[in-house]
Amino acid sequence: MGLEEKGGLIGQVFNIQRYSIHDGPGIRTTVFLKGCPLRCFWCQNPESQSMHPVLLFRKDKCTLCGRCIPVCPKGANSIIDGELVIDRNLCTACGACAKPGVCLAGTRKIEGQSMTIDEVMKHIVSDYNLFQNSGGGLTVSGGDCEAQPDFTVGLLKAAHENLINTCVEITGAFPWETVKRITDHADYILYDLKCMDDKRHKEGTGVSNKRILENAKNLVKEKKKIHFRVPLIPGFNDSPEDIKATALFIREELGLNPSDHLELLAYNNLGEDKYIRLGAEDKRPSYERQSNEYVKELNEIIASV
Amino acid sequence: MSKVQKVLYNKYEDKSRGTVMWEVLNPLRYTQSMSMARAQILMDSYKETEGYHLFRRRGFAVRKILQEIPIRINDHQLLCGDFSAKPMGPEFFPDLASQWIVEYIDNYGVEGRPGFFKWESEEQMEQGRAIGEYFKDIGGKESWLKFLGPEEAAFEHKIGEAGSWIVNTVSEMFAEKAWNCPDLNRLVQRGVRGLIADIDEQLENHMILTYEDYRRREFWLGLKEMLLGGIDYAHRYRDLAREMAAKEKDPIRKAELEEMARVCDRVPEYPAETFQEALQSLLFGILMTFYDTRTYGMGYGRVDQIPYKQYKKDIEEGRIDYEYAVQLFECFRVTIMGKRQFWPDVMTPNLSSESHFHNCVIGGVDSKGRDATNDLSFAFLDAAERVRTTHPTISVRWHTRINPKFMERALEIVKLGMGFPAFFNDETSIQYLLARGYTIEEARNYAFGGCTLHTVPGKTSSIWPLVTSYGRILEITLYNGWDYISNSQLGPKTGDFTKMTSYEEFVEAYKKMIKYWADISTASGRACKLQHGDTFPDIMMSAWTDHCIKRGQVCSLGGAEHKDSSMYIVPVGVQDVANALYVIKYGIFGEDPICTPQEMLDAMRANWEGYEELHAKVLAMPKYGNDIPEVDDLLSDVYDWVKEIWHAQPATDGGTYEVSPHSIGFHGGTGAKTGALPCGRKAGTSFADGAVSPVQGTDTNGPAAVIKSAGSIDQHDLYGVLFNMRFTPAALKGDEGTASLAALIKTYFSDYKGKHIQFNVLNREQMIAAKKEPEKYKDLMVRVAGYSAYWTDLPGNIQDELIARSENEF
Repeated sequence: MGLEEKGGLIGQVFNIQRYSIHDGPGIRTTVFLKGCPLRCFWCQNPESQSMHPVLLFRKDKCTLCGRCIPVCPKGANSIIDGELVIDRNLCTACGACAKPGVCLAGTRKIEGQSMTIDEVMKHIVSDYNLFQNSGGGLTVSGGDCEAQPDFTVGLLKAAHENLINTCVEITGAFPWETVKRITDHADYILYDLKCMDDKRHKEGTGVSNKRILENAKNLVKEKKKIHFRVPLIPGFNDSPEDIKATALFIREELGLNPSDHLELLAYNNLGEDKYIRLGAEDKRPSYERQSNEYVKELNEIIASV
Repeated sequence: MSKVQKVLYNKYEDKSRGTVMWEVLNPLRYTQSMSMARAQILMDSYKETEGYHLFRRRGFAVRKILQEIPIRINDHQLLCGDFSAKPMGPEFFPDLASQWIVEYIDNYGVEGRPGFFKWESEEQMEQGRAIGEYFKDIGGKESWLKFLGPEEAAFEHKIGEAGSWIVNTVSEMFAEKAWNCPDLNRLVQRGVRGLIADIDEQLENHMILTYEDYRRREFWLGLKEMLLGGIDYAHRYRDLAREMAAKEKDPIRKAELEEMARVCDRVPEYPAETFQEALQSLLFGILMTFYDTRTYGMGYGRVDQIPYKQYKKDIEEGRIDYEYAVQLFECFRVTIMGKRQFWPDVMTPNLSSESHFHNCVIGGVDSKGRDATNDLSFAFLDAAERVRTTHPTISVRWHTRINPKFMERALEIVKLGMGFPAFFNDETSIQYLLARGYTIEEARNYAFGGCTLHTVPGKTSSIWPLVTSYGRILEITLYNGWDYISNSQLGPKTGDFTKMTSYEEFVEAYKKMIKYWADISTASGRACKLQHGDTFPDIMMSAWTDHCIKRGQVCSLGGAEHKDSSMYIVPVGVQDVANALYVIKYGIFGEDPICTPQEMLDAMRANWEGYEELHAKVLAMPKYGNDIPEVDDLLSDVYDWVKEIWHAQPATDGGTYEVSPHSIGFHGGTGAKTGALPCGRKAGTSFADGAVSPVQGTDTNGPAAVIKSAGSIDQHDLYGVLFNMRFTPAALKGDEGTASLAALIKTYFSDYKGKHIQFNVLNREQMIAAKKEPEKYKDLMVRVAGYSAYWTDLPGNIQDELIARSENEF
């Protein structure tokens, strides 16, 4: 597969989060990779969609001191009508304005950096004891880690070489060969199911769900440990009918008990502000979180299927 | 076999027994006025006993207090005894320090300091003044100042917390030196009569040949008076309970009172035979010691082990059930809450009126190294859940074989957000004690003095700490010994920082400065311990400490069997120092410097104003607590230097100084007096708490990285290594949250060899709101460096520090 020189292999990473307890069994370190084939309108990590580094800017903290203007090699920063404006077409996210000592208000941050497998693994092996004591390990997530298959496989193999349990969080929107290549090295799979209705799936995410559902079936056939999750998006996929359809898919098409294999994730708005920081305010989603009672009702539907 | 009488007691449905009691007492925390009962009786007794040796005079006085202090039994209470003549009132200890009360009266008048205690009346205030006047030459602190002489006293004041706050020596005497863990188990199992028999045996064959022999006799006679006072005290409660029972209409309450009378008739005089007798005897022992020396940081020992034999027998015979044991522990908790600290302003930036450390230990191993967890371990946790009081604090001794159900229960209590239990690692604590000459059985029976000091009960004397601000010492080193608070050359000239060319050169200067202040403070500390022991002797404590009775010596004056661990330094701000050293090493003397030494000093003097760019660069440099070895190693280095210098300092009676980084509440007070430091810290802000907790807000890599950093410090030779972590309640939700916390503790202890960990479970908004509207958050509890306190009782700087401490989100 040409990915054996693992020290040299480089991936685009946007975050390494230690002590994750919601990304698979036990306490895990989750590596978030950049790049995603989907364009979900509610995406909580919009900075992860592109393969390239991006600049996040907190306008609300900006003091208009202008220190960022001369340091930008592209001249992307300017103050117009009492407001700091970044020309996103000029910005290459080179990071000059995000260096310590430039912006004194701390408004700028670059998301995304190139790292080798060895560099990432240094962070992973660090928590080996914690993994052992909690039944945790490494989780590779994204974006969608399938967008960087060589790097993902490299990480998973390196983890196994270090006796560390592996998990991937994937959309399944890639050809089966890619999905299989990655999941062959995963001890546990977190799999997103957004919507059973293909038309709405396309509208909401930009891609068809056909391949996603087909890949799910294949993974079950391969007897992989798999856990399905539905991000509940108000008005999009959180109706009782939608949830029932998803549960039925798991029961009938996959032959699994939905109560054990399907988890609902209530909407959260923690990522909404990121759209503003990315200069993509027009795309910013804004919804109310479902009530606990409503999520409970939906879970009862799952239990009844 | 005689038929065992089943104990009758009331059941509580909606609210627990403890809660019903606490709801009556809790409001009094804010409104209760001073009590002068102890001080007045003490003074009366002193006047009657002039001419006696102080040891015997103290014996008479404490016995008189126990005989005469007004007593009462609160509704619903099952245990007898109280810490004040007034419910939730503070007693005054003029024999410890007296002159400050005159100042307190002159400054605040009858209303008292806002938020603290007011006087009952003008007359009572004048009574307080008169008592202060009587003790003006013989109070412990006053006589220490005489010992020092005006010049030295002025110097100690200058370097202490009221002055430049480098090291405190004198002011600590507002808080009595009673941080240890006596062995109250011997009172429970043997009774006062057993201990008196030990004394009589010594007296019988005693011959006075030396000055020491003469003092021995005085000590035995004084101690005997105090012990007899304990019986007198209990019998007064017996009579009161009988009287109340006779009048009681409710038959079950009547039975409860009759049982209380029966119990007080037997203990502490005789060995305890039932669980209630055992707990009551323990409580009487605590109170007898309190009325002698107030016992600020006295540990109560292993509360699930001490009365277990009696509990087991009660259960086997069907005398009581588990529920009754929980109710008795609730009663115990409520009684302990009645202990209030009344002390001067200088103590209050660091400690509230409810700062005392009475560690109750549960779990751990038995003498064979097996799990010692029993029903009472669970019962003690249940009681803490039912009645939400901040005291006494609870410590769980963790080991690899601990009952997982018990751990689960302990973590459920953590999640209630009361700040306890704290967790301690048996392995490293026992290791520490073995290295100090304890047998393995003794070491396995350790408990705590103060908040984190692992101590074998009844083996060491009361503890005498020296709190030293390592942040201040760093600052003064950077200014070549110059102190900008006193505007004087307070320290030696260890070298001009602006002329230094390497990190190593600066480290040498810093170590010289550490040594200088260690020499000064230990000289004072040693003298103080013995001088104070002679004027405010801990006689009652000696009854519970080996081998005071056998040797005829007061426990702080050579009576205690072990000489280790009784004198130590509390280094404060060490984590801030490590971060500052990183900047000095890599940012000033590194390959790619961000500023010159002179620029750094200028920026510090300006408190970073006008140096914002440098400040931003400094803040962006690595900080301790993020699993970055280059900076974590510097913390390790500082502890090595501190250990090297302090372990070479002799303590009294052949011991040596120990290093005990647990900060207490002093990180706020010392920080307030420290200027800007190279780590980017601004002047006046709180230092990091504890020993290995990161500086507030600088741990950005989450809990896994924090425990890794903390675990990278070699803790085995440190005495009590306090480590605080804060979580939001949401982060610990559900079984997953509990399981991850259990794994975190296991990793930190079993793999990283940490010694202690405790958790604050609060959310930030809650705390900001609590600062704005304290009246709405009177029940909010937090843990500050080793103890829990009500949020509203904490000083503002500690509140700020808690808010600033970064939340460990999952």
